[in-house]
Amino acid sequence: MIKELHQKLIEGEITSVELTKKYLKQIKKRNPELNTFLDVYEKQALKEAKKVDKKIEAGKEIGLLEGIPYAVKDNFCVKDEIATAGSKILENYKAPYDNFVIKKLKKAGAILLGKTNLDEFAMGTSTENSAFGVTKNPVDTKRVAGGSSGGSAATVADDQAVWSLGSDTGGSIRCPASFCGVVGMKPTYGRVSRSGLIAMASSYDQIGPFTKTVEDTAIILDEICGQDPKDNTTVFKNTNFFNNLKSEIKGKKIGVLKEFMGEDADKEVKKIIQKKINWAKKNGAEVFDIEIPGIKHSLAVYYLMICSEVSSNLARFDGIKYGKRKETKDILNTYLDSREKGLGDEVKRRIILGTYSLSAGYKDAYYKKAQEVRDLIKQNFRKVFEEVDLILTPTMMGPAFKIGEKCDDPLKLYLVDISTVPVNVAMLPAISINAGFSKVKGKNLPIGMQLIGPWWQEQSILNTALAFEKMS
Amino acid sequence: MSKKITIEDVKKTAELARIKLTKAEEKRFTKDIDKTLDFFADIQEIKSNKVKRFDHYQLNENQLRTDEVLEKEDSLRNGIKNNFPESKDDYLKVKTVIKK
Repeated sequence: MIKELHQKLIEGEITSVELTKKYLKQIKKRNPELNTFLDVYEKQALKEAKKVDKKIEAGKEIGLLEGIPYAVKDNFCVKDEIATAGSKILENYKAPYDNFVIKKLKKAGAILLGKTNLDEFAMGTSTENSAFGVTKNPVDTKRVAGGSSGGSAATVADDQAVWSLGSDTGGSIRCPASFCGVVGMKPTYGRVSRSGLIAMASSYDQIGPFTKTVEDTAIILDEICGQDPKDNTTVFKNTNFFNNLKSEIKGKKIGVLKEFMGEDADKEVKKIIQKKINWAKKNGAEVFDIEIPGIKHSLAVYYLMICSEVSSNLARFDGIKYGKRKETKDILNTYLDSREKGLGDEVKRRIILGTYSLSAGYKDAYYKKAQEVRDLIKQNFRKVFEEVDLILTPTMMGPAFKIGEKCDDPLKLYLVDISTVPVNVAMLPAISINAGFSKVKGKNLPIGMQLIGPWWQEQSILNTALAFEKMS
Repeated sequence: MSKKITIEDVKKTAELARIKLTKAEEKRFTKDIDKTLDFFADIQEIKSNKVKRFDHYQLNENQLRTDEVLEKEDSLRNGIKNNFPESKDDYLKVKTVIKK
Protein backbone atom coordinates (compact mmCIF):
# COMPACT_ATOMS: atom_id res chain seq x y z
CA MET A 1 0.00 0.00 0.00
CA ILE A 2 2.81 2.42 0.92
CA LYS A 3 4.69 1.62 -2.29
CA GLU A 4 1.59 2.31 -4.37
CA LEU A 5 0.85 5.58 -2.57
CA HIS A 6 4.48 6.61 -2.99
CA GLN A 7 4.19 5.92 -6.71
CA LYS A 8 1.05 8.05 -6.93
CA LEU A 9 2.78 10.88 -5.10
CA ILE A 10 5.80 10.99 -7.38
CA GLU A 11 3.68 10.63 -10.49
CA GLY A 12 1.53 13.54 -9.37
CA GLU A 13 -1.62 11.46 -9.33
CA ILE A 14 -2.29 12.65 -5.79
CA THR A 15 -0.61 15.21 -3.53
CA SER A 16 0.45 14.64 0.04
CA VAL A 17 -1.97 17.38 1.14
CA GLU A 18 -4.86 15.60 -0.57
CA LEU A 19 -3.84 12.29 0.95
CA THR A 20 -3.50 13.82 4.42
CA LYS A 21 -6.88 15.54 4.08
CA LYS A 22 -8.48 12.25 3.08
CA TYR A 23 -7.30 10.60 6.30
CA LEU A 24 -8.14 13.63 8.45
CA LYS A 25 -11.66 13.51 7.04
CA GLN A 26 -12.03 9.87 8.01
CA ILE A 27 -10.73 10.66 11.53
CA LYS A 28 -13.29 13.44 11.92
CA LYS A 29 -16.05 11.16 10.76
CA ARG A 30 -15.18 8.09 12.81
CA ASN A 31 -13.20 9.21 15.85
CA PRO A 32 -16.24 10.46 17.83
CA GLU A 33 -17.69 6.97 17.74
CA LEU A 34 -14.58 4.76 17.89
CA ASN A 35 -12.34 6.88 20.15
CA THR A 36 -9.19 5.95 18.28
CA PHE A 37 -7.33 9.27 18.59
CA LEU A 38 -6.56 11.23 21.75
CA ASP A 39 -5.03 14.13 19.84
CA VAL A 40 -5.06 15.10 16.16
CA TYR A 41 -2.41 17.41 14.65
CA GLU A 42 -4.39 18.70 11.69
CA LYS A 43 -2.53 21.97 11.15
CA GLN A 44 0.93 20.55 11.63
CA ALA A 45 0.18 17.53 9.41
CA LEU A 46 -1.03 19.71 6.54
CA LYS A 47 1.99 21.98 6.93
CA GLU A 48 4.36 19.04 6.66
CA ALA A 49 2.40 17.59 3.73
CA LYS A 50 2.71 20.90 1.88
CA LYS A 51 6.49 20.77 2.32
CA VAL A 52 6.61 17.33 0.74
CA ASP A 53 4.43 18.49 -2.17
CA LYS A 54 6.79 21.41 -2.79
CA LYS A 55 9.71 19.01 -2.86
CA ILE A 56 7.97 16.81 -5.40
CA GLU A 57 7.04 19.84 -7.51
CA ALA A 58 10.68 20.89 -7.50
CA GLY A 59 11.55 17.53 -8.97
CA LYS A 60 13.40 16.33 -5.88
CA GLU A 61 13.48 12.68 -4.91
CA ILE A 62 11.39 11.60 -1.93
CA GLY A 63 11.69 8.61 0.41
CA LEU A 64 9.14 5.80 0.65
CA LEU A 65 7.50 7.12 3.81
CA GLU A 66 7.72 10.77 2.82
CA GLY A 67 4.32 12.44 2.60
CA ILE A 68 2.50 9.34 3.90
CA PRO A 69 0.24 9.91 6.94
CA TYR A 70 0.68 7.76 10.05
CA ALA A 71 -0.39 7.69 13.70
CA VAL A 72 1.41 6.88 16.91
CA LYS A 73 0.40 5.46 20.29
CA ASP A 74 0.19 8.10 23.00
CA ASN A 75 3.06 6.67 25.05
CA PHE A 76 5.55 8.00 22.48
CA CYS A 77 7.10 11.38 23.22
CA VAL A 78 6.67 13.93 20.43
CA LYS A 79 8.38 17.22 21.17
CA ASP A 80 6.03 19.95 22.45
CA GLU A 81 2.98 17.70 22.21
CA ILE A 82 0.97 16.19 25.07
CA ALA A 83 1.90 12.59 25.93
CA THR A 84 -0.66 11.09 28.31
CA ALA A 85 0.21 7.39 28.13
CA GLY A 86 -3.52 6.97 28.70
CA SER A 87 -3.22 8.28 32.26
CA LYS A 88 -4.83 11.18 34.10
CA ILE A 89 -1.55 11.88 35.85
CA LEU A 90 0.03 12.93 32.51
CA GLU A 91 -3.06 14.68 31.14
CA ASN A 92 -1.15 17.95 30.70
CA TYR A 93 2.37 16.61 30.22
CA LYS A 94 4.11 18.13 27.22
CA ALA A 95 7.05 16.04 26.04
CA PRO A 96 10.25 18.12 25.94
CA TYR A 97 11.91 15.92 23.31
CA ASP A 98 11.24 13.44 20.50
CA ASN A 99 11.24 9.69 20.88
CA PHE A 100 14.15 8.19 18.87
CA VAL A 101 11.85 6.61 16.29
CA ILE A 102 9.76 9.78 15.94
CA LYS A 103 12.94 11.74 15.30
CA LYS A 104 13.85 9.33 12.50
CA LEU A 105 10.38 9.53 11.01
CA LYS A 106 10.38 13.31 11.07
CA LYS A 107 13.63 13.21 9.16
CA ALA A 108 12.10 10.74 6.72
CA GLY A 109 9.23 13.18 6.08
CA ALA A 110 6.41 10.92 7.31
CA ILE A 111 3.25 12.88 8.19
CA LEU A 112 2.16 12.45 11.81
CA LEU A 113 -1.63 12.69 12.11
CA GLY A 114 -1.87 12.38 15.88
CA LYS A 115 -1.76 10.20 18.98
CA THR A 116 -3.83 7.09 19.53
CA ASN A 117 -5.61 5.69 22.56
CA LEU A 118 -4.16 2.96 24.81
CA ASP A 119 -4.62 1.24 28.16
CA GLU A 120 -3.16 3.37 30.94
CA PHE A 121 0.63 3.07 30.73
CA ALA A 122 0.07 0.27 28.20
CA MET A 123 -1.29 -2.09 30.86
CA GLY A 124 -4.18 -4.05 29.44
CA THR A 125 -5.60 -6.09 26.61
CA SER A 126 -8.60 -3.99 25.63
CA THR A 127 -7.97 -0.21 26.14
CA GLU A 128 -10.68 -0.44 28.80
CA ASN A 129 -8.02 0.76 31.26
CA SER A 130 -7.51 4.03 29.38
CA ALA A 131 -8.35 7.09 31.47
CA PHE A 132 -9.90 8.52 28.30
CA GLY A 133 -12.42 5.79 27.49
CA VAL A 134 -12.36 2.56 25.52
CA THR A 135 -11.50 2.31 21.81
CA LYS A 136 -14.22 0.45 19.96
CA ASN A 137 -13.52 -2.19 17.36
CA PRO A 138 -14.28 -0.80 13.86
CA VAL A 139 -15.66 -4.19 12.81
CA ASP A 140 -18.15 -4.38 15.69
CA THR A 141 -18.45 -1.34 17.94
CA LYS A 142 -19.84 -3.43 20.80
CA ARG A 143 -16.44 -5.09 21.03
CA VAL A 144 -12.98 -4.01 22.14
CA ALA A 145 -10.24 -3.21 19.65
CA GLY A 146 -7.74 -5.11 21.82
CA GLY A 147 -4.85 -3.65 23.71
CA SER A 148 -2.93 -2.08 24.82
CA SER A 149 -2.25 -0.41 21.42
CA GLY A 150 -5.96 -0.58 20.56
CA GLY A 151 -6.13 2.92 19.10
CA SER A 152 -3.21 2.30 16.75
CA ALA A 153 -4.69 -0.96 15.43
CA ALA A 154 -8.22 0.39 14.98
CA THR A 155 -6.85 3.48 13.24
CA VAL A 156 -5.22 1.39 10.51
CA ALA A 157 -8.16 -1.02 10.23
CA ASP A 158 -10.57 1.89 9.81
CA ASP A 159 -8.42 3.83 7.27
CA GLN A 160 -7.77 6.72 9.63
CA ALA A 161 -4.04 6.36 8.94
CA VAL A 162 -1.98 4.44 6.39
CA TRP A 163 0.06 2.84 9.15
CA SER A 164 0.79 3.35 12.83
CA LEU A 165 3.15 2.57 15.66
CA GLY A 166 2.51 0.77 18.91
CA SER A 167 4.49 -0.82 21.71
CA ASP A 168 4.38 -4.47 22.74
CA THR A 169 5.22 -5.64 26.27
CA GLY A 170 3.23 -8.88 26.37
CA GLY A 171 1.21 -8.75 23.17
CA SER A 172 0.10 -5.13 23.01
CA ILE A 173 0.72 -4.95 19.25
CA ARG A 174 -0.24 -8.47 18.21
CA CYS A 175 -3.46 -8.68 20.25
CA PRO A 176 -5.15 -5.59 18.76
CA ALA A 177 -3.76 -6.49 15.31
CA SER A 178 -5.54 -9.84 15.64
CA PHE A 179 -8.79 -8.29 16.91
CA CYS A 180 -8.87 -5.60 14.20
CA GLY A 181 -7.63 -7.74 11.31
CA VAL A 182 -4.41 -5.90 10.47
CA VAL A 183 -0.70 -6.79 10.43
CA GLY A 184 1.17 -6.12 13.68
CA MET A 185 4.78 -6.91 14.44
CA LYS A 186 6.91 -7.03 17.56
CA PRO A 187 10.60 -7.05 16.61
CA THR A 188 13.40 -8.78 18.55
CA TYR A 189 14.11 -7.05 21.86
CA GLY A 190 16.94 -4.65 21.04
CA ARG A 191 15.96 -3.91 17.44
CA VAL A 192 14.16 -0.63 18.12
CA SER A 193 15.19 2.02 20.60
CA ARG A 194 12.92 2.69 23.56
CA SER A 195 14.25 6.14 24.36
CA GLY A 196 11.32 8.53 24.50
CA LEU A 197 8.81 5.72 24.93
CA ILE A 198 7.11 6.06 28.31
CA ALA A 199 8.31 2.91 30.04
CA MET A 200 6.12 0.13 31.33
CA ALA A 201 8.47 -2.85 31.83
CA SER A 202 11.92 -2.07 30.49
CA SER A 203 13.10 -5.62 29.82
CA TYR A 204 9.94 -6.40 27.85
CA ASP A 205 8.85 -3.21 25.98
CA GLN A 206 9.48 -3.08 22.24
CA ILE A 207 8.16 -0.74 19.54
CA GLY A 208 6.61 -2.07 16.33
CA PRO A 209 4.30 -1.19 13.42
CA PHE A 210 0.67 -1.79 12.42
CA THR A 211 0.03 -1.96 8.68
CA LYS A 212 -2.41 -3.28 6.11
CA THR A 213 0.21 -5.46 4.41
CA VAL A 214 3.35 -7.46 5.23
CA GLU A 215 5.27 -5.41 2.67
CA ASP A 216 4.43 -2.19 4.53
CA THR A 217 5.69 -3.74 7.77
CA ALA A 218 9.03 -4.47 6.07
CA ILE A 219 9.25 -0.86 4.84
CA ILE A 220 8.59 0.55 8.30
CA LEU A 221 10.94 -1.82 10.11
CA ASP A 222 13.76 -0.66 7.82
CA GLU A 223 13.06 2.88 8.95
CA ILE A 224 12.63 2.41 12.71
CA CYS A 225 15.30 -0.18 13.59
CA GLY A 226 18.79 0.79 14.60
CA GLN A 227 21.23 1.55 17.32
CA ASP A 228 20.63 4.46 19.68
CA PRO A 229 23.28 5.58 22.16
CA LYS A 230 20.44 6.46 24.55
CA ASP A 231 19.18 2.88 24.67
CA ASN A 232 22.01 0.52 25.45
CA THR A 233 19.90 -2.53 24.66
CA THR A 234 19.88 -1.62 20.95
CA VAL A 235 22.57 -2.99 18.68
CA PHE A 236 23.83 -2.20 15.23
CA LYS A 237 22.52 -4.61 12.62
CA ASN A 238 22.25 -4.00 8.93
CA THR A 239 18.64 -4.29 7.86
CA ASN A 240 17.15 -4.34 4.43
CA PHE A 241 13.87 -6.11 5.03
CA PHE A 242 12.01 -4.50 2.16
CA ASN A 243 14.56 -5.27 -0.55
CA ASN A 244 15.02 -8.82 0.67
CA LEU A 245 11.30 -9.49 0.95
CA LYS A 246 10.21 -12.55 -1.02
CA SER A 247 7.44 -15.06 -0.53
CA GLU A 248 8.80 -18.22 1.17
CA ILE A 249 6.90 -21.32 2.14
CA LYS A 250 8.45 -24.30 0.31
CA GLY A 251 10.93 -26.15 2.50
CA LYS A 252 10.19 -23.97 5.56
CA LYS A 253 10.17 -25.96 8.77
CA ILE A 254 7.19 -24.77 10.78
CA GLY A 255 6.52 -25.89 14.33
CA VAL A 256 2.95 -25.86 15.59
CA LEU A 257 2.67 -25.41 19.32
CA LYS A 258 0.24 -28.07 20.46
CA GLU A 259 -0.27 -26.20 23.70
CA PHE A 260 -2.15 -23.38 21.95
CA MET A 261 -4.25 -25.55 19.68
CA GLY A 262 -5.86 -27.36 22.59
CA GLU A 263 -8.77 -26.65 24.89
CA ASP A 264 -7.91 -23.00 25.50
CA ALA A 265 -8.52 -22.06 21.89
CA ASP A 266 -11.93 -21.28 20.49
CA LYS A 267 -13.22 -23.94 18.06
CA GLU A 268 -13.54 -21.50 15.20
CA VAL A 269 -9.99 -20.21 15.79
CA LYS A 270 -8.58 -23.72 15.65
CA LYS A 271 -10.44 -24.40 12.40
CA ILE A 272 -9.11 -21.24 10.77
CA ILE A 273 -5.51 -21.87 11.88
CA GLN A 274 -5.70 -25.53 10.84
CA LYS A 275 -6.71 -24.41 7.35
CA LYS A 276 -3.54 -22.30 7.17
CA ILE A 277 -1.43 -25.22 8.37
CA ASN A 278 -2.93 -27.50 5.71
CA TRP A 279 -2.21 -24.90 3.04
CA ALA A 280 1.41 -24.61 4.21
CA LYS A 281 1.84 -28.39 4.02
CA LYS A 282 0.34 -28.50 0.55
CA ASN A 283 2.77 -25.86 -0.59
CA GLY A 284 5.87 -27.63 0.53
CA ALA A 285 6.35 -26.53 4.12
CA GLU A 286 7.39 -29.18 6.64
CA VAL A 287 5.06 -28.94 9.59
CA PHE A 288 5.84 -30.46 12.99
CA ASP A 289 3.96 -30.61 16.26
CA ILE A 290 6.23 -29.15 18.89
CA GLU A 291 6.30 -28.68 22.60
CA ILE A 292 8.29 -26.12 24.54
CA PRO A 293 8.87 -27.27 28.11
CA GLY A 294 8.11 -24.59 30.62
CA ILE A 295 6.16 -22.39 28.21
CA LYS A 296 3.06 -22.59 30.39
CA HIS A 297 5.00 -20.80 33.12
CA SER A 298 5.51 -17.78 30.85
CA LEU A 299 2.47 -15.96 32.19
CA ALA A 300 3.55 -16.24 35.82
CA VAL A 301 7.10 -15.15 34.94
CA TYR A 302 5.76 -12.31 32.86
CA TYR A 303 3.28 -10.85 35.35
CA LEU A 304 5.73 -11.18 38.20
CA MET A 305 8.52 -9.43 36.35
CA ILE A 306 6.45 -6.72 34.72
CA CYS A 307 4.73 -5.79 37.99
CA SER A 308 8.16 -5.47 39.58
CA GLU A 309 9.50 -3.34 36.73
CA VAL A 310 6.29 -1.29 36.65
CA SER A 311 6.54 -0.51 40.36
CA SER A 312 10.02 0.86 39.79
CA ASN A 313 9.35 2.66 36.47
CA LEU A 314 6.19 4.35 37.70
CA ALA A 315 7.67 5.65 40.95
CA ARG A 316 8.52 8.82 39.03
CA PHE A 317 4.86 9.76 38.65
CA ASP A 318 4.43 11.43 41.99
CA GLY A 319 3.46 14.98 41.11
CA ILE A 320 6.89 16.43 41.82
CA LYS A 321 8.69 17.12 38.55
CA TYR A 322 5.78 16.83 36.13
CA GLY A 323 2.23 15.65 35.90
CA LYS A 324 -0.66 16.50 38.12
CA ARG A 325 0.29 17.70 41.60
CA LYS A 326 -2.20 17.80 44.43
CA GLU A 327 -1.23 20.49 46.92
CA THR A 328 -1.25 19.23 50.51
CA LYS A 329 0.19 20.03 53.91
CA ASP A 330 3.41 18.02 53.54
CA ILE A 331 5.51 16.17 50.99
CA LEU A 332 4.28 12.67 51.85
CA ASN A 333 0.69 13.68 51.28
CA THR A 334 1.65 15.38 48.02
CA TYR A 335 2.94 12.02 46.77
CA LEU A 336 -0.04 10.11 48.07
CA ASP A 337 -2.73 12.46 46.83
CA SER A 338 -1.14 13.10 43.43
CA ARG A 339 -0.84 9.38 42.76
CA GLU A 340 -4.30 8.64 44.12
CA LYS A 341 -5.97 11.13 41.81
CA GLY A 342 -3.76 10.41 38.83
CA LEU A 343 -3.43 6.64 38.59
CA GLY A 344 -6.05 4.04 37.69
CA ASP A 345 -7.00 0.78 39.36
CA GLU A 346 -4.96 -1.67 37.27
CA VAL A 347 -1.86 0.50 37.53
CA LYS A 348 -2.18 0.72 41.33
CA ARG A 349 -2.72 -3.02 41.61
CA ARG A 350 0.41 -3.77 39.59
CA ILE A 351 2.51 -1.25 41.51
CA ILE A 352 1.54 -2.80 44.84
CA LEU A 353 2.07 -6.32 43.57
CA GLY A 354 5.47 -5.34 42.17
CA THR A 355 6.54 -3.51 45.30
CA TYR A 356 5.56 -6.56 47.35
CA SER A 357 7.49 -9.00 45.16
CA LEU A 358 10.59 -6.80 45.28
CA SER A 359 10.47 -6.26 49.02
CA ALA A 360 13.05 -7.67 51.43
CA GLY A 361 12.53 -11.35 52.06
CA TYR A 362 10.53 -11.94 48.88
CA LYS A 363 12.84 -10.70 46.14
CA ASP A 364 14.74 -13.97 45.71
CA ALA A 365 11.62 -16.08 45.80
CA TYR A 366 9.82 -13.91 43.28
CA TYR A 367 11.84 -11.63 40.98
CA LYS A 368 15.06 -13.64 40.97
CA LYS A 369 13.19 -16.91 40.54
CA ALA A 370 11.21 -15.45 37.64
CA GLN A 371 14.44 -14.31 36.00
CA GLU A 372 15.85 -17.81 36.22
CA VAL A 373 12.72 -19.34 34.75
CA ARG A 374 12.83 -16.69 32.02
CA ASP A 375 16.29 -17.99 31.07
CA LEU A 376 14.99 -21.53 31.13
CA ILE A 377 12.20 -20.62 28.70
CA LYS A 378 14.68 -18.82 26.43
CA GLN A 379 16.95 -21.89 26.42
CA ASN A 380 14.00 -24.10 25.53
CA PHE A 381 13.03 -21.84 22.63
CA ARG A 382 16.66 -21.93 21.45
CA LYS A 383 16.57 -25.73 21.37
CA VAL A 384 13.31 -25.73 19.39
CA PHE A 385 14.77 -23.28 16.87
CA GLU A 386 17.53 -25.80 16.15
CA GLU A 387 14.79 -27.97 14.63
CA VAL A 388 12.32 -25.49 13.11
CA ASP A 389 12.54 -22.14 11.28
CA LEU A 390 9.33 -20.66 12.62
CA ILE A 391 6.63 -21.37 15.18
CA LEU A 392 2.97 -20.92 14.30
CA THR A 393 0.18 -20.23 16.81
CA PRO A 394 -3.15 -18.46 16.91
CA THR A 395 -2.42 -14.89 18.09
CA MET A 396 -5.38 -14.82 20.45
CA MET A 397 -7.50 -17.73 21.64
CA GLY A 398 -10.67 -16.10 20.34
CA PRO A 399 -12.07 -13.09 18.50
CA ALA A 400 -12.38 -9.61 20.08
CA PHE A 401 -14.45 -9.84 23.23
CA LYS A 402 -17.34 -7.59 24.19
CA ILE A 403 -16.69 -4.33 26.00
CA GLY A 404 -17.07 -4.95 29.73
CA GLU A 405 -17.08 -8.73 29.35
CA LYS A 406 -13.78 -9.46 31.13
CA CYS A 407 -13.38 -6.31 33.16
CA ASP A 408 -14.25 -7.61 36.60
CA ASP A 409 -11.58 -10.28 37.06
CA PRO A 410 -7.98 -9.13 36.48
CA LEU A 411 -6.53 -12.65 36.56
CA LYS A 412 -8.99 -13.80 33.89
CA LEU A 413 -7.90 -10.91 31.70
CA TYR A 414 -4.22 -11.77 32.23
CA LEU A 415 -4.80 -15.27 30.85
CA VAL A 416 -5.93 -14.09 27.41
CA ASP A 417 -2.31 -13.22 26.58
CA ILE A 418 -1.25 -16.85 26.74
CA SER A 419 0.21 -17.14 23.24
CA THR A 420 1.70 -13.65 22.90
CA VAL A 421 3.46 -13.39 26.28
CA PRO A 422 6.06 -16.20 25.81
CA VAL A 423 7.47 -14.21 22.87
CA ASN A 424 8.28 -11.22 25.10
CA VAL A 425 9.56 -13.46 27.86
CA ALA A 426 12.04 -14.94 25.37
CA MET A 427 12.68 -11.55 23.66
CA LEU A 428 11.81 -13.06 20.25
CA PRO A 429 10.36 -11.39 17.15
CA ALA A 430 6.80 -12.26 16.05
CA ILE A 431 4.14 -11.09 13.65
CA SER A 432 0.36 -11.33 13.69
CA ILE A 433 -1.44 -11.43 10.36
CA ASN A 434 -5.09 -11.98 9.63
CA ALA A 435 -5.92 -15.65 9.10
CA GLY A 436 -9.65 -15.43 8.53
CA PHE A 437 -12.92 -14.44 10.12
CA SER A 438 -15.17 -15.96 12.71
CA LYS A 439 -18.84 -15.31 12.08
CA VAL A 440 -20.49 -14.21 15.31
CA LYS A 441 -24.06 -12.86 15.19
CA GLY A 442 -23.79 -11.61 11.66
CA LYS A 443 -20.39 -9.95 12.10
CA ASN A 444 -17.18 -11.22 10.60
CA LEU A 445 -14.70 -10.95 13.47
CA PRO A 446 -11.03 -11.12 12.45
CA ILE A 447 -8.82 -13.95 13.72
CA GLY A 448 -5.05 -13.51 13.80
CA MET A 449 -2.25 -15.99 13.22
CA GLN A 450 1.11 -15.55 14.88
CA LEU A 451 4.50 -16.47 13.39
CA ILE A 452 7.40 -16.50 15.84
CA GLY A 453 11.00 -16.58 14.62
CA PRO A 454 14.44 -16.94 16.20
CA TRP A 455 16.21 -13.83 17.51
CA TRP A 456 17.02 -11.30 14.74
CA GLN A 457 15.24 -13.41 12.08
CA GLU A 458 12.53 -10.89 11.21
CA GLN A 459 13.28 -11.44 7.53
CA SER A 460 12.34 -15.11 7.71
CA ILE A 461 9.09 -14.21 9.52
CA LEU A 462 8.22 -11.51 6.98
CA ASN A 463 8.95 -13.74 3.98
CA THR A 464 6.73 -16.55 5.22
CA ALA A 465 4.03 -14.12 6.39
CA LEU A 466 4.04 -12.74 2.83
CA ALA A 467 3.42 -16.25 1.46
CA PHE A 468 0.44 -16.71 3.80
CA GLU A 469 -0.87 -13.26 2.91
CA LYS A 470 -0.65 -13.97 -0.82
CA MET A 471 -2.61 -17.19 -0.34
CA SER A 472 -5.68 -15.37 0.94
CA MET B 1 5.48 -19.12 49.26
CA SER B 2 2.22 -20.54 50.45
CA LYS B 3 1.87 -17.71 52.97
CA LYS B 4 -1.24 -15.71 52.29
CA ILE B 5 -0.99 -11.97 51.78
CA THR B 6 -2.89 -10.14 54.50
CA ILE B 7 -4.69 -6.85 54.43
CA GLU B 8 -1.91 -5.51 56.69
CA ASP B 9 0.72 -6.52 54.08
CA VAL B 10 -1.20 -4.70 51.39
CA LYS B 11 -1.57 -1.58 53.55
CA LYS B 12 2.14 -1.55 54.36
CA THR B 13 3.22 -2.19 50.76
CA ALA B 14 0.84 0.45 49.42
CA GLU B 15 2.29 2.96 51.84
CA LEU B 16 5.83 2.13 50.70
CA ALA B 17 4.73 2.51 47.08
CA ARG B 18 3.07 5.84 47.92
CA ILE B 19 -0.35 4.57 46.97
CA LYS B 20 -3.32 5.65 49.04
CA LEU B 21 -6.10 3.11 49.25
CA THR B 22 -9.65 3.35 50.49
CA LYS B 23 -10.94 0.67 52.86
CA ALA B 24 -12.84 -0.95 49.99
CA GLU B 25 -9.74 -0.92 47.77
CA GLU B 26 -7.64 -2.49 50.51
CA LYS B 27 -10.05 -5.40 50.66
CA ARG B 28 -10.42 -5.78 46.92
CA PHE B 29 -6.70 -5.50 46.21
CA THR B 30 -5.85 -8.05 48.92
CA LYS B 31 -8.17 -10.53 47.24
CA ASP B 32 -6.85 -9.80 43.72
CA ILE B 33 -3.20 -9.86 44.75
CA ASP B 34 -3.61 -13.03 46.78
CA LYS B 35 -5.11 -14.76 43.77
CA THR B 36 -2.26 -13.55 41.55
CA LEU B 37 0.39 -14.66 44.05
CA ASP B 38 -1.19 -18.11 44.08
CA PHE B 39 -0.76 -18.11 40.35
CA PHE B 40 2.92 -17.18 40.77
CA ALA B 41 3.42 -20.07 43.22
CA ASP B 42 3.57 -22.37 40.19
CA ILE B 43 7.09 -21.37 39.28
CA GLN B 44 8.46 -21.96 42.78
CA GLU B 45 8.56 -25.69 42.08
CA ILE B 46 10.76 -25.41 38.99
CA LYS B 47 14.40 -26.31 39.40
CA SER B 48 16.03 -23.32 37.79
CA ASN B 49 19.09 -22.41 39.83
CA LYS B 50 21.42 -24.25 37.44
CA VAL B 51 19.97 -22.78 34.26
CA LYS B 52 22.59 -21.01 32.16
CA ARG B 53 21.94 -17.37 31.40
CA PHE B 54 20.96 -16.95 27.80
CA ASP B 55 21.89 -13.78 26.02
CA HIS B 56 20.38 -13.37 22.55
CA TYR B 57 22.79 -10.58 21.60
CA GLN B 58 25.88 -12.82 21.47
CA LEU B 59 28.15 -9.78 21.54
CA ASN B 60 31.84 -10.26 22.18
CA GLU B 61 32.30 -7.07 24.11
CA ASN B 62 30.35 -4.64 26.19
CA GLN B 63 28.63 -1.75 24.49
CA LEU B 64 29.55 1.32 26.46
CA ARG B 65 29.17 4.94 25.63
CA THR B 66 31.64 7.58 26.64
CA ASP B 67 30.98 9.36 29.88
CA GLU B 68 30.77 12.94 28.75
CA VAL B 69 28.80 16.10 29.32
CA LEU B 70 26.48 16.77 26.39
CA GLU B 71 25.36 20.27 25.57
CA LYS B 72 21.59 20.39 25.28
CA GLU B 73 19.57 23.01 23.50
CA ASP B 74 17.58 25.55 25.51
CA SER B 75 14.28 24.27 24.14
CA LEU B 76 14.85 20.97 25.95
CA ARG B 77 15.70 22.73 29.20
CA ASN B 78 12.64 24.95 28.85
CA GLY B 79 10.44 22.02 27.95
CA ILE B 80 11.43 20.28 31.16
CA LYS B 81 10.93 23.43 33.23
CA ASN B 82 7.54 24.12 31.68
CA ASN B 83 6.34 20.79 33.04
CA PHE B 84 7.17 21.75 36.65
CA PRO B 85 3.91 21.78 38.62
CA GLU B 86 5.29 24.70 40.62
CA SER B 87 8.44 26.76 40.24
CA LYS B 88 10.18 29.81 41.54
CA ASP B 89 12.67 31.70 39.39
CA ASP B 90 14.43 28.85 37.63
CA TYR B 91 13.87 26.26 40.34
CA LEU B 92 11.42 23.43 40.94
CA LYS B 93 9.41 24.13 44.05
CA VAL B 94 8.47 21.33 46.45
CA LYS B 95 7.15 21.04 49.97
CA THR B 96 9.72 20.97 52.77
CA VAL B 97 11.45 17.60 52.84
CA ILE B 98 13.73 18.07 55.86
CA LYS B 99 12.17 19.61 58.92
CA LYS B 100 14.00 22.32 60.84
